[in-house]
Amino acid sequence: MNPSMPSMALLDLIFLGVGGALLAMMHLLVDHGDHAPEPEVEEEEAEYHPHTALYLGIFGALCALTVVELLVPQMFASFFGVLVISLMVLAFAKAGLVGMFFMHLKDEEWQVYLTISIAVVGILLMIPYIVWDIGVIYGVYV
Amino acid sequence: MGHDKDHHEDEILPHGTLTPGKFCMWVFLGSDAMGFAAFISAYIVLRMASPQWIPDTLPEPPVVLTGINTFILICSSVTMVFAYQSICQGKVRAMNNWLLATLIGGIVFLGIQYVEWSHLLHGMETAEGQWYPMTPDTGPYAATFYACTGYHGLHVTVGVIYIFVMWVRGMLGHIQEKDSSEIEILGLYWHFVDLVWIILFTIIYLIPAF
Repeated sequence: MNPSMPSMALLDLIFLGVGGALLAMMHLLVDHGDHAPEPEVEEEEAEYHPHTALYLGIFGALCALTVVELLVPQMFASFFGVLVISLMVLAFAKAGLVGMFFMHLKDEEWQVYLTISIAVVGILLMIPYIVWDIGVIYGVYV
Repeated sequence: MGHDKDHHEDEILPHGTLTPGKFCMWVFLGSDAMGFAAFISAYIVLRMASPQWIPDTLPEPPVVLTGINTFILICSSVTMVFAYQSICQGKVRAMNNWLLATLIGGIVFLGIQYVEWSHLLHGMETAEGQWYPMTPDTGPYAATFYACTGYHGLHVTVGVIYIFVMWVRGMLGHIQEKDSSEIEILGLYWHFVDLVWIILFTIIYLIPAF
């Protein structure tokens, strides 16, 4: 028996529990019955304010970071550790810009951040298991 | 959150309201992110365990072509956010135009991916002038390359179909300002696809073999 199987089963139970918690939260958040009328939104709050300049600025930043990413391997070809760290920092900076501004994460409510946090925790739990599992299969770890 | 039965169907909710559909899309994206994390983790582990990741008989991934592809996907992400901005302002025709631009960007991305895969599967000229086909069973490098890019390509394909359906609905007049949340949900999916490609491009194409 693969030594990682019991721990994988435990991981499955954890994710089932997380999934159940998410479903329960969705059930609570969906409106099922009568409730007090929602307060009227002020017209100024309801009116949409365009962010064209901001989006174009983010686009420019993404293009600039992409160009830098293409140049970094040429600059740090002999320093692999620096190369990897630089590229990953640039990649996550670009991903952060897309997430924060294009996906409007900076304006989202706590329920969205909770959902993302659960996914991040899941990923952080999953990666060591994958690393261990593949390492055992390929004989990297004895 | 959610719609009270007493609310009029034509009521415009404040833009960015966390509707049930939007929340469910975030839940889906969270689960999808775990799928991509699994593929990327497998790629990294196999790479670190390999004494020579890219065999001499296979070419390194085409960075310039894929860099152009990355730029195209970023552009389509920008057009997607402008589509949402347009519908929030009640500009349905502008939204349709921006959605069409996003759709074209997605199709071009898939086309370039197809060209890249075709060259790899049929054989590319290496530095020694030899043509060696790279199939998924060639080795761990080829298998993880096709798995990661193929999984992402599948998401882009689904996204293109999704955008096309919404564009047709917009052209038929079925999307108005009160339906801006639907475009926002579409945008969340498309931006996620772009975000994941940014990570994949860096890990698979930019970090060279050692």
